[in-house]
Amino acid sequence: MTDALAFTDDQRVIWLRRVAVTALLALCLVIIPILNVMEIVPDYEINRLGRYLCFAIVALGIDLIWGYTGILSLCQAFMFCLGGYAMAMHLSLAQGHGDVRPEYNNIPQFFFFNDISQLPGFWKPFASLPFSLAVAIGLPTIVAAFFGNFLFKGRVRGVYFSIMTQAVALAAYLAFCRNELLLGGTNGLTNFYRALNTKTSWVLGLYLASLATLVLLFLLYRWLTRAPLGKVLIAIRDNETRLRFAGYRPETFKAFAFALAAATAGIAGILYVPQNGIITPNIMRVEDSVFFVIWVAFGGRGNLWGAVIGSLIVNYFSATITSDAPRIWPIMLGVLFLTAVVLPDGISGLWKDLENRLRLRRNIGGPVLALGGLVIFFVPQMLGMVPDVFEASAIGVPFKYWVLVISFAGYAFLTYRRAIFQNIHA
Amino acid sequence: MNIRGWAAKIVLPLLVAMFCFAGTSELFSKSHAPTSLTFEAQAQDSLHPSTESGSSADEDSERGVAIFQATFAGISLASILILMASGLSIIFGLMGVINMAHGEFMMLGAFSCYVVNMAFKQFFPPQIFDFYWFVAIPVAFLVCAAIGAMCEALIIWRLYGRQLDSMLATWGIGLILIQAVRLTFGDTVALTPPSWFEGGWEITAGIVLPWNRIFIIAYSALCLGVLYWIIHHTRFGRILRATMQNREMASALGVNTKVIDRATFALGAGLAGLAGCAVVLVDKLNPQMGQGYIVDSFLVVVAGGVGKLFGIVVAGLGLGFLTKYLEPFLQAVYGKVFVLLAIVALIRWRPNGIFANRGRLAND
Repeated sequence: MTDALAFTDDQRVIWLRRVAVTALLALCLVIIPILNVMEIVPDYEINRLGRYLCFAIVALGIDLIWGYTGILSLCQAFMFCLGGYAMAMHLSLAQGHGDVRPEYNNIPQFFFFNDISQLPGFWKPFASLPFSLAVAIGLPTIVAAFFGNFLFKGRVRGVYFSIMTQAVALAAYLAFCRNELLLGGTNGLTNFYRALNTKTSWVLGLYLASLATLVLLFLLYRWLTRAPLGKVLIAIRDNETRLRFAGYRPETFKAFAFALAAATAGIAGILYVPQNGIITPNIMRVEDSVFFVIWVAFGGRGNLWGAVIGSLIVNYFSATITSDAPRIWPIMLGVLFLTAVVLPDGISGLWKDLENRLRLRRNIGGPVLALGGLVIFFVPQMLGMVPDVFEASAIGVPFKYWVLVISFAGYAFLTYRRAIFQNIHA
Repeated sequence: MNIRGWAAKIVLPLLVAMFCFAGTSELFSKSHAPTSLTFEAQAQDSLHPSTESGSSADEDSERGVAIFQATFAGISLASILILMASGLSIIFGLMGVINMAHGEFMMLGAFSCYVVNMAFKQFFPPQIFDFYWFVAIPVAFLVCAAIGAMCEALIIWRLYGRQLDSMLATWGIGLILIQAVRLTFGDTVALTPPSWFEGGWEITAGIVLPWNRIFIIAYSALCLGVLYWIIHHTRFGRILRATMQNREMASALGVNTKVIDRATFALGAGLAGLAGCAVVLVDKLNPQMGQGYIVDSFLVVVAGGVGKLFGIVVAGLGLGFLTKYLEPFLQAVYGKVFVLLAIVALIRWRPNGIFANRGRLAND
């Protein structure tokens, strides 16, 4: 649909897209790093944005399997953690500049609390970085390919598959919490931040690496979803039985998409661990997988930009609200779930509205107001430079939230005013 | 019933049961040898507190006691799961809605119990305090049914036919309910169970069955019986089954399917509330308590076959037995992991559960 339009599309829409993409890339790729080097943007903001970019990478994979293929997986956090743990194992060892000391026999300290004085055999290959990276990407891929193939071949589909992924996520969480697995139990793996997280060059470097990976994977996914393969995936979502009768094997395609999404999550895990400084089983709970899904839902499923923007927005929003009003956040999150379901296009629906209005030469005030409100709310946070005016509260609520409320209320008013005043359905 | 039907309904459960018992008698014979997986000293094993003292007693009776205790614990775990799953199952079977907030409805039932408990402490003489639990049962049912009907009327009816979306939306409802309860009652609340549930029934020396567990089993059986009666022997149940089997036809024959949907959702939520009343007797009371049960009860629904009360009972008992039988030799966590993976394998083999309706459509 969008492909066919791309050739004949309105000049204004093309121009608008170029401006938006250029502005976003310029902000992330040029302005933020330069401001960081000039020490205007603090390191922790860069670090935070870098971590959120890793989440955006996971969201890309979820968008492929959920938005395009129609498989709701609730174990992506587990795949993310498989990648993360493989990287964390490397970073805990002496070869990864981990925190090893002679008095602890030069192996990670937690082994000693479990009465183990020698490095277990399966840890040894993780001394090499290439091996760790290969495991971090390969293991989730293999697990997902096996699991997907196993279940899809049995024609397990829809919610049944989701519940099964949930069971796997729960099983993995329970297993990873045990000390016998020699992966640190509930405390997870940590103490590698000495080498990485605190030095500016590393923080910025990891941020740029995450950004580059995100851009590359985004291009890959864009190519993939526009290629014939992407059409098959969409066909699976829309009518799997009919596709099967057309001579395709949906289960193979589904297993492929599932494995690719898992590999993507593994890559995100690799980049996330050094930036976060710790990995514990607490981020592979079923809840976390659901949160991953909700970022995509909020950004707009079936839309790669939506997945990226959605995961950034929800994460920043969550960070802001949990610091301002921690007790309200779970309720906000619940409301977010409901809006994401009621409005299937999410944030990308706003953008689509803007483009359609441009094409039809209609008033673009409404969507511009809403998108402008989002930009005013989020960009200062990305830069870590929230003006004091924003923090000043009006009627007990900080001004920055009023910006959001007013812009979205204005959007709703401008969109539905005819319906309101003239009793005409918009 | 054809051969496949016989195989599914009778032979299969028998085989599973035989496998369980054959397996367990092997397991319990080498009762406490630490396996290669365990590094810590054997964790305190609440399942057989009595077997530890009599290590010189003959092994046969010890094994018998262990199996008996595990069976009892399995039934007791299963009874709660079955109660939860029956509500989930009729909601899923009728409306195709995956109710992720079901655990939270259970939690609401438990907190209704707590409120009644506090009210009795406050306003009634202490002599009749123990009866609060029986008052709490209808209160929990009504509170959960009312909130369930409200959710259905506000949100869930929009999601019919969108199963995956309903999963996310009800998850959101669950989050809101958890936080609302936490803001109202706080994170830690304590409830005094009625005094007659303390202690247990000592059958012979070494075998003590806690009263609260016995009571839960009886209570679940009673609730299930009533539910069976409602579904199979009342007018409402007949209409409900008709709508479940063929919505358009039922609607054409004059059934107001929207009302049936709402009533069924309320009934399902109310059943979760009843389960909550049982859970308070054995588990801690906190706003997140529902999350620990939701995955398990879904597995019971899926393994048993959607909308099949009998399937749920079999699957619930199977899950309970398997969990409790595996606990002594695999430890609780690995037993649980094994059970979860076993259910995944089961679903691969029978994608619509053990007792699925066999349809003619390619999508069935």
